[in-house]
Amino acid sequence: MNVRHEDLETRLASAMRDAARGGDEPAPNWAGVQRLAHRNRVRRVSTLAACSVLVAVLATAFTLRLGNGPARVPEAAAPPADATVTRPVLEACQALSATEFDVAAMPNSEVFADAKRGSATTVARAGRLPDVAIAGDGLVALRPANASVQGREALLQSLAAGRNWLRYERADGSVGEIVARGLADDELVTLATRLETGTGPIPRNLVSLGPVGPIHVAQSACAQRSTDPFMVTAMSGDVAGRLAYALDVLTVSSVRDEGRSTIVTNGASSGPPAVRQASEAEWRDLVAAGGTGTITSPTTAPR
Amino acid sequence: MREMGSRMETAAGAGLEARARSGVEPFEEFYRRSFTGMTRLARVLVDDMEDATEVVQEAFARMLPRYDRISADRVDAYLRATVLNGCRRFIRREVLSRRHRPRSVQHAHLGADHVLDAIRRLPAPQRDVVLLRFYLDLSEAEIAQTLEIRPGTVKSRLHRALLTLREVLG
Repeated sequence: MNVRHEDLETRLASAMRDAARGGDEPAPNWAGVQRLAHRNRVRRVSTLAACSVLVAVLATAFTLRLGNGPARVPEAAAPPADATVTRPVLEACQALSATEFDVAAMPNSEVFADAKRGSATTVARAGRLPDVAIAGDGLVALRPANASVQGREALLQSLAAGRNWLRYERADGSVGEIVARGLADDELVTLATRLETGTGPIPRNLVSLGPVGPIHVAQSACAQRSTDPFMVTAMSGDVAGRLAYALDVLTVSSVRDEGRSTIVTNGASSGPPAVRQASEAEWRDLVAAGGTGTITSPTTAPR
Repeated sequence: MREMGSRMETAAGAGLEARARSGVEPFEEFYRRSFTGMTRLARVLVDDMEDATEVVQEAFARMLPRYDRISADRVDAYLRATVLNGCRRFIRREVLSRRHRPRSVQHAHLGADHVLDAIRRLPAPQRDVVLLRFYLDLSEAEIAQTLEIRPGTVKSRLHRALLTLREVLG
């Protein structure tokens, strides 16, 4: 107790200031902060997804009465089948804030199933203007007939340059893009060529499911951020009397998903869909129910 | 879709932009203004400049998504608290990792920073108060705001810390 009050405070301040100023001081690294913030966000989403998967697994196990104990849930109280299979990426998508998404409606749309690719692909096309098509394994935007760039030639040039996208200007001055992932070059060119005219046949592997009501397309806001490695594109609409919900997710490192997620529900068309992967049988039914007509193309039935 | 994405990007950043428009300092400027001071603050606790920088960068990254929700008169206090919490987490990790690795005694450093060592050995709540009071020269009210405790608690923690330090350094 032989240290006087002021002396002690002075010594403390001095020691701390010396410690604080020693050595080389780094310069601010703003990009580093942005990277860290992004990493934190991805981790948060991944954790939420993992928790959702865990809950789904537990719910499934409980429903299937795994274990040796007596069944505690009567048949009537069992959850609907839609709730038993969930996709981690969809959970992650739903966990995202509502502000992360913007939703636009495409009127007079037409939905196609890709028979060649099986149940995992859906293509939706805006009917009145063949402007946008969304594939489950890729996003394909096609220019309207009166755009200022010839779509096929420009796309060929783009592909020749090693790119899988094409940016073009619409007649109204806005900018659109063709982005291809998971589609072979020739398929994309064929699709672009035939859809851009609005009258030609589409590739034979695309089976029309018929015209649908407004399709709501949502894209995550993070899609445009260069620091975010993933984007989520979702669409939903009434397809052949069912609510279809297609989700396309680009690389999410810690959430395993290959894209091409097509989810169909039998539920009501309001509120968030109780989603699950469509079974092969359901998809066959859906395809069989289609092919009844088209808005934009005269030959959309399988050939 | 890209256009739609651009619109959404705009919407997502609307909070920060609105904050900038309303005269509040943009986060990047806030970061550049505060970085050096916070690095020095962290350096007092974690000793190594590289570790201190890491702690401060992480603190800013944690603060970034919340920045538009923090009132302008609280951002500095919020940042200080975030940095102090980061230091505490870092020290806890260091203590745990030292338990699992052989201790190497560096004789050249023994006794060189005994005042600093005494401060670092204080319990975390007392250490934070000492740091804010004597390094940052904050008032008791400002310390109370930073740590979200009552001014009376600041006084009692400071009193106990000084008693301990007097005994150790006496």
